[in-house]
Amino acid sequence: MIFNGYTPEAILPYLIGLAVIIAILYLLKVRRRAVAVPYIGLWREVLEKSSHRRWHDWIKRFISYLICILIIGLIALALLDPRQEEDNTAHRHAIIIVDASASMAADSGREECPSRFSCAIKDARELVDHMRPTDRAVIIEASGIVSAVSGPFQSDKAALDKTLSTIAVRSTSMDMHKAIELASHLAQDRENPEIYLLTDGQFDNADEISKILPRTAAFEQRNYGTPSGNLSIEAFNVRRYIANRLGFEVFFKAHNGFEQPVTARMKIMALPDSESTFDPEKDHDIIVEKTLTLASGSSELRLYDNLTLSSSRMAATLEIIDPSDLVDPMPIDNIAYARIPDYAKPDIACITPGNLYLEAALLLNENYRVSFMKPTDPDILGDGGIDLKKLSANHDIVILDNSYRNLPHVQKEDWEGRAIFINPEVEDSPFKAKTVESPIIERVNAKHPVARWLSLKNLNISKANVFSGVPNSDLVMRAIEGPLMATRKTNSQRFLAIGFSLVESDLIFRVGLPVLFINTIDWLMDENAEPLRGYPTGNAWHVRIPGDLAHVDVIRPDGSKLQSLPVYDGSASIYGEMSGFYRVQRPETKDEVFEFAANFSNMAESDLSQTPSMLQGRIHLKTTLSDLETEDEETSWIIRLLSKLPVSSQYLWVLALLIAMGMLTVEWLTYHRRWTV
Amino acid sequence: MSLFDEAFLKKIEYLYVMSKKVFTGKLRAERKTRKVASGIEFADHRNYAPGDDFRALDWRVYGRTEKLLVRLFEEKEDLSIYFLIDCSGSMHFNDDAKLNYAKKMAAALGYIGLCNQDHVSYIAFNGKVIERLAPTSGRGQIFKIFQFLEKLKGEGQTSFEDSFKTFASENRRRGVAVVISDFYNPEGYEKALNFLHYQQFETYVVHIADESEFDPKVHGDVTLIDDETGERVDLTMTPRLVAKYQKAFETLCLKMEAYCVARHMLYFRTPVSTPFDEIVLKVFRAGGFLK
Repeated sequence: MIFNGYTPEAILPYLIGLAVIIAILYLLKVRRRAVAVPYIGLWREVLEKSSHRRWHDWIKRFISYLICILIIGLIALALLDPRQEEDNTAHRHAIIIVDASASMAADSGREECPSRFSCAIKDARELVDHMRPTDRAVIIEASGIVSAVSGPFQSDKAALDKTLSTIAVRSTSMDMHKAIELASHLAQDRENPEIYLLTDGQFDNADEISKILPRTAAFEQRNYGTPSGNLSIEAFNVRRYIANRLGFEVFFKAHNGFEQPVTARMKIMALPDSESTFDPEKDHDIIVEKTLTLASGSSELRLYDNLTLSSSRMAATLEIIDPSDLVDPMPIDNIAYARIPDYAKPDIACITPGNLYLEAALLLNENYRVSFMKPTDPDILGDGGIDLKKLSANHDIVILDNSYRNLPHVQKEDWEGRAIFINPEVEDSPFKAKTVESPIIERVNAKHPVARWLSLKNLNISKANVFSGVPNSDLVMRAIEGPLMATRKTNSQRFLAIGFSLVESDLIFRVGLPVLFINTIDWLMDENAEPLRGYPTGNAWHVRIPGDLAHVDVIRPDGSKLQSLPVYDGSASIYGEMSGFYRVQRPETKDEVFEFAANFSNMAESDLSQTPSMLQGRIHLKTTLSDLETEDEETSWIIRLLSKLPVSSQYLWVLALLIAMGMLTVEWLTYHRRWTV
Repeated sequence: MSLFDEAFLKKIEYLYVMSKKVFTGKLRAERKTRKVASGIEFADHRNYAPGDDFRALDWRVYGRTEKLLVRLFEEKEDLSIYFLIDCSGSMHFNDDAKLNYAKKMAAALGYIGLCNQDHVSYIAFNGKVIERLAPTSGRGQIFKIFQFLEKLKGEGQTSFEDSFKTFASENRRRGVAVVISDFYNPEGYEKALNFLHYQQFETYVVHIADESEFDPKVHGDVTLIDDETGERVDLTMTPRLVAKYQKAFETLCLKMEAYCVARHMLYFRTPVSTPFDEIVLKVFRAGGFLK
């Protein structure tokens, strides 16, 4: 037996102190109470008649004392944390790395275990079974994230077996470098270390990784599966058109990794809200069903628009139909998911005396619902001019066009919302402004979403108001005299200020004018300006969260929840390791904020045609776990007994404490003297 | 607070009224009176014996029958009631609970005796007679009795025989002897009670016991200390042992009752938790205590 807890020297003073206290308590316990009686003769008579034996009392008391001492001994034993005695002759430390990458879901080609992963788990279980009482093992799950899932080295077979049951294939690739690095760290300073790598060999840089294998550890790599072809969905997504956000198109790409042409059936189906992953057992509305013929090693791209949808959530599947005997070994990459981004027409109030250029630019886009209003319209006027607070309360965006310099005064007090100020008067300008003649454009901030696809550098302007107090991040366009176009975004306000009249510049003659408004409205409405965004598994995603939430809850496709993820700079970071639909919720109200689809789209993992890579270990032990047989007869009776207890046989100190508590309880219940002291 | 306070006085007055009711009923016992040659109420004749007073000869009967007969008259006799109160250490047990109970009971019975014009006397004893109150009568003497009883303390060892012998030798006039005690005596009580019986005292035995004597509420390792002798016994009090003790105590009581009944002594056993007036009434109902 070895002791993993406190050293005997460390606990000895405390034990002595405890023993003294126990002895004092014991003496107090057995001390007799003096009780006065009127006549002792009667008691004497009773004692003479009864079989009262003094030595019996003495033995009972002594046994009670022994129990106290035994309890102290057991507590001391618990503090020492005893473990089963080590067998120095065969003291193995096994590190079992289980590859849980997506390619491990592929067919193994073996009857006893259908997938590569199930073969790896089966072998891992066998290795655990081979362990002797003196052996220790740790299990590493290696996918996109590498971790020692079984905790520190342990000999508890039941616990290790339970850990193996919790490992599952992830929709990610495997970080072999990290896995071997972790195994090397664990093997350091351990006696007889053995590293077992259970994988399909689908990784690169085998020579480089071999170099970090420890010199002192025995190494064994077991590969599962054989090189084969694979049919996979390379890409699947849906996007709204930038010019027409009501329209969308579906993007689908399939790849044939077989060495022969393949005809496959592609289906795009609508998924109800209740399904976060595709359930092949259920019936689904088929949106598109096509037969694709792919040459060996080729990819096929399909775009579908104007589809009729019954749901914004879609799943695509790919299935080989010819040759009929050809089996797709990896089903995980034959399913993909997509979701159409939500969109609603923004309600725009445009206050203009009749600027046809502006009206044309806004009416060009069918995705806006625009209300044109005259500056003299009594509905928009308050006591001192245009009531911006009221307007922004009733409309998504308010455009205040002062191109003709005849707009009434704008009341901006306490307004909240989104607005575009065109050529505001100095006193109505949201920024501090001054008037300049013929400004010369010096710089255009091309990174600003408002300036996307625009060329404004050679813009000619006859007269303008230049702003001051604009930070660089909000600057869209700047003249030598000062900023001419700038944005501002606060918790309650978001606006663009254009410091010149549209009709006093040549912007009205350019195609950039409608683009400027599309960009601005997209930015104001927080629309994703990126053309297409996907969430491939095995990566940390920076998911843009609409609104001003500080934290969000994320429900993963398997129903598990990531709680209170912080939102920084409008994005939340999520590590994705499973494909399907992710739901983002408000933590307080559980209202759904939005939903996005994640896909396994890793061509390296889907490519099963590679020859398995092999790592080269340095030494081989004479007898490793894999050489041993499952032990049955050799197990001592005490180990067999301990294995039946609810407490892990590794933690004998828990057992010692349980025994001590049991003895205390028995003593309490049976020793009637308890009531007297 | 005084043992004999106002509430006590009210209670004994009530007991007196109750005793009147008891004795006017069927339960009333006849007390014998002496028949002597002098007196007021004629009772009987008897043959003349030498030495008899000639004045008591009934000459009319001699004239008719020629027989010398002496006339006998009934003479009322004053009853003497003696209260023998055990004042040993065992009566001191549990904060004088038994002794106080004995005092109250003796005072109440004594008061009723005084009201009936009886001669009431109190004798306190332990190993010997330690205090005595000479026979007294008349209702007004009750406060004298209270004073006597209040100063009694429970201490010393018990010896019934010695004490009763002293009592009998000092009190030639026979009467009712009420022995109030817990009857704990290593030498036993039998000889002493027998002695009283043969000395022609009408004996009432009142056996007082504390609740803890019936049912000791003690468990575990204890050292028992005798209140009288200071003797010690170490023992482990188990429920089994307690049961045995209870049985032994019960046997002691039953034995004592049987002893008293066999000798025509009235025996009363009472725990101190029973109100003393209840046991006093019980004594009345048993009859013979008062004329």
